[in-house]
Amino acid sequence: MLGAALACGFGQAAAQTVPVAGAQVHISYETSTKFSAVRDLLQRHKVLEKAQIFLSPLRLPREITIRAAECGAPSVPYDAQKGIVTICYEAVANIQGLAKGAASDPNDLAGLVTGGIVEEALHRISLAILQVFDIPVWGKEEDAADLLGAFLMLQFDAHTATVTILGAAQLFVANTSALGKVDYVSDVSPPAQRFYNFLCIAVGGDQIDFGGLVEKGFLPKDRAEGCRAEYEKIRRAFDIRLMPHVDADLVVKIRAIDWLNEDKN
Amino acid sequence: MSTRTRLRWTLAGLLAFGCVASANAPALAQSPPPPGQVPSQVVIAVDNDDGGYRPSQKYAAVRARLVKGRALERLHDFLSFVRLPRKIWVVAAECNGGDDASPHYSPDNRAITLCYQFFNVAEKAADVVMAAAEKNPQVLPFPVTRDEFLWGLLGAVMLHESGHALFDVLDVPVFGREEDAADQFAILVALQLRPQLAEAAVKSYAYFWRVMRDPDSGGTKDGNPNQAFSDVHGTPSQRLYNTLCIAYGRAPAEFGKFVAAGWLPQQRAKGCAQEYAQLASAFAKTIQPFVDQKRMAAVEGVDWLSPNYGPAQPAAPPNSISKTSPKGAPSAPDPASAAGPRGKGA
Repeated sequence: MLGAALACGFGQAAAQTVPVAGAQVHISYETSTKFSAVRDLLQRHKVLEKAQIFLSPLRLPREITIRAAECGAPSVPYDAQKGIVTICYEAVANIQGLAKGAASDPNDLAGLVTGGIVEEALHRISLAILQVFDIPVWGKEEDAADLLGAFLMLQFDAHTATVTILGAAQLFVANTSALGKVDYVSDVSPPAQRFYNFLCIAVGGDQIDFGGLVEKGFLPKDRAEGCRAEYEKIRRAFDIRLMPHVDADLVVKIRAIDWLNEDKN
Repeated sequence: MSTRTRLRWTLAGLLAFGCVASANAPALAQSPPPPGQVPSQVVIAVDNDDGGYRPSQKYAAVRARLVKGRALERLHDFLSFVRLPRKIWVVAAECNGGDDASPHYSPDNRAITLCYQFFNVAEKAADVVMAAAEKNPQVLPFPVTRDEFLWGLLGAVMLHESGHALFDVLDVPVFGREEDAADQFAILVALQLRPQLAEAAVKSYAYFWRVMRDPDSGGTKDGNPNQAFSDVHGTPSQRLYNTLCIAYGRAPAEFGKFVAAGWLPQQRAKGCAQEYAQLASAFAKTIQPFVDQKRMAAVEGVDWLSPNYGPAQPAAPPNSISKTSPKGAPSAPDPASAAGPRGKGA
């Protein structure tokens, strides 16, 4: 089931026509004895290749490399000098652990892991994008990466958006329980806050698919009332600061991809 | 002229909103321009000749204090340093939402509303801070008087709401949480002031958040994320650390006391210079281009801290006909935005 959810390798046609606009995005799966299973999982499901394609409409002013690696920590910052975005095997292993503890069945597990990995990848990539384009960031940078990540997830096809957003949100719940106490000091918001921020962008961006989260009480109505405006705010920020760097024709092709079902085709 | 210099007077003006404490403030050389007559896209929302200060039986004393201090006039004049492409309104009122109603900016009518209720909240916070300081003077990294605390806090709050207003009318892209961004704006601008004014704003805002309570059940409640964390605002502790981090990032020598005293843990402090640099860059790119150099020069040197800002003038009786409220202006406290979720509360 995990494979089904993550089996979003692109068909031959997609793989052969990876659009390249502006500078290249390179990818690298680094070897790791300790996390060889994690590396295999990411490589088998072509996670970095998909990220490469997803970023192809963006006219980057410099080359960047997205690397999956053993970091010795859950995360490492974007290396602005070398242009390296790192997705740590430790983070993926942590996602797997949290998902196993929280999932009610194999389908659920697949969604949690998929959502968690996509969220982690988009979060790391968003942090890099903000720096690469020297974008002015009001508010905390980590929150900005979350909100931008959630906004980008909504650009996926409906099925993929649902799986990844709900999966990522469930992971925030699991992480909240696992941590037990709240770290107010950190510049990274507590997972409980990230959970609500994430749901708010989803509800604000797609009331039809995600409005049920409010009806079922996952997102309080007091917050939900402002979510459309919150979504529009991040969309407006994207339009002002990032859209000028985007190839609109390529975006259409990217949006037409059925990310999670591509292998079945 | 540097950004820092340009910002100095603007914040001085806004902080003078807290004129309750200005009696002991050092006077500057020049007199202020005629209050309320500075060319500005900021409009005091007068209704029935109330001067922008809505009548309130319950908060009559608070209202009188604001009228006497010409709080709205100062805010009006102060914000004239920004070339706003659209008008914004400022008004003082008893807001809907009960005793917890706080100052807010509403994009629906582009109005900053100064809720009388908040002054009582500020007074209660002052009671706690002063009691703690009396019990142990060392408990506060920087000593503070009651008046200094009140005006520093109220000045910071008004800067926070001004931040929301500028984000809105200047179409500033905000990628993070806007409430955090508004706090950042407030502290960033405060830090451009003369050291004693910057210190007053930072410590007062920090002390306020220190005495407010965080959610009481941690991150989870009944196995789900605690809904207290669904608020668009950060928790009091988060706002405390964010405030101190910006201040320490800007001026580590001055605000290192907060680190030494354990108010700002080292784990956060080590990244604060970078956090401040990010913030300063955001201001320079998104707001600085709207700063009006001539207006800035015209009011530079004004004694914004003077207890007598302009000629003494009591508020007009609230039953005459308004001649200054344009159509669409908040001629009365807007029930929908006074304390509602769409308003950008403090």
